[in-house]
Amino acid sequence: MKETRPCMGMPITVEIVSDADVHTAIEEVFSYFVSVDTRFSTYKTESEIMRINRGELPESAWSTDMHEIFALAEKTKEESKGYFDMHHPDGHIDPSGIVKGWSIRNAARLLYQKGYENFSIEAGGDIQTSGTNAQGKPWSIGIRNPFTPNTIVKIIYPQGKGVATSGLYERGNHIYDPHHPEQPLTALASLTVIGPDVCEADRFSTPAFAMGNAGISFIETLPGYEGYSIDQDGMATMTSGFEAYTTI
Amino acid sequence: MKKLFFIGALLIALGAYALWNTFSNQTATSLAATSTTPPPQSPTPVQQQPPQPQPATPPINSNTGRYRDGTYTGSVTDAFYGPLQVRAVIQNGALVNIVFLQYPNDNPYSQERSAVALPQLKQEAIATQSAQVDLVSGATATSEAFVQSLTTALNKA
Repeated sequence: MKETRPCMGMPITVEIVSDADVHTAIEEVFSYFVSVDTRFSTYKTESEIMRINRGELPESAWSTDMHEIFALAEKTKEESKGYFDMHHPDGHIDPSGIVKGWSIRNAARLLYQKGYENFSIEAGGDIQTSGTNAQGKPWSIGIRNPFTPNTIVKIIYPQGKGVATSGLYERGNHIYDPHHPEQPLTALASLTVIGPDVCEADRFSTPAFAMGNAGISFIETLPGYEGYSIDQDGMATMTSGFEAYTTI
Repeated sequence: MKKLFFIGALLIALGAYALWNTFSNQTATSLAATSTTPPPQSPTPVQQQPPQPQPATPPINSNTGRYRDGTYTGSVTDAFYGPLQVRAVIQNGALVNIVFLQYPNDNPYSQERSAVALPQLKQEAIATQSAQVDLVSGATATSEAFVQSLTTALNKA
């Protein structure tokens, strides 16, 4: 069973491959995404993150999830040499660069704990798959052509790993270089990361994209991560282990 | 004695001419084998000009407007820090790979430049793939919308 609903400002698709009735499980997954949106949306004035931004909520009153996201954001900032920073130059905090992948991973864990082994969850182009698809075959993922969005330019088989893509065309996620926030990013069209899970892939795809042409070399230095970047001339550069994911 | 000396000199000269002739013919033959340029009209046995490098841009088939399949080697160009030469691979009319045959790496400074500009990462020109996939990683539009759009497009094809 497969279902797509709008949530967190983007379409989210959940597919569970099972002979059993999976309606309840799918409802639980979407309920989870709604709760994440309520807490972390920077578009909802009463969300926890917006209350923190307005100074209405002392740290002692933050939710466990908020503490976890702040810790993860700090860790990502260090590991990406400052290229990921949820503290924007104008002072407000926007963790949406890592909330998406983190929430997809948590939703996947929810399904796994319920005993489902074959499923996929996709939110705004970031993907976690598990097991096999409805045909009993490995899940296949196309990397979107950043120049003509209705086509794909590469097919990968993530083998249970997480996949996330960053690009300038991404809605609501205006990526910039924290070291030079005034400079527009022009080198890359998109950068896709395969990581241990979708949370890991997502939290490195954004800073790697902000690094421009050096981003793919940065991914190369991370053990357990592979990447595929596409520059503005349509030339792609892949990490040394990427091609292991292009065949079944 | 003078006569013997003269005959010896003549033999050496003839031998040298024979060697030169053989060498020139071989050179001409090998050049003809590797060059696509037509043989020169003049009887000069040695081509003074090197063979013309094949164009960096592969020929476009005038019938289909697509690149013709094959492997095409570009000319050696000056990349400021040293020579650069690439080979392009065309499959099914699309540019699928670019191999760097040469790039600047002769002196330490050039190596440093190369490490920055061209890490040991494979590059390829992107090429549209068939859409037989479960999901799409990108942004904005859903993979659902993508599959739907493509399905309608393919239904018209």
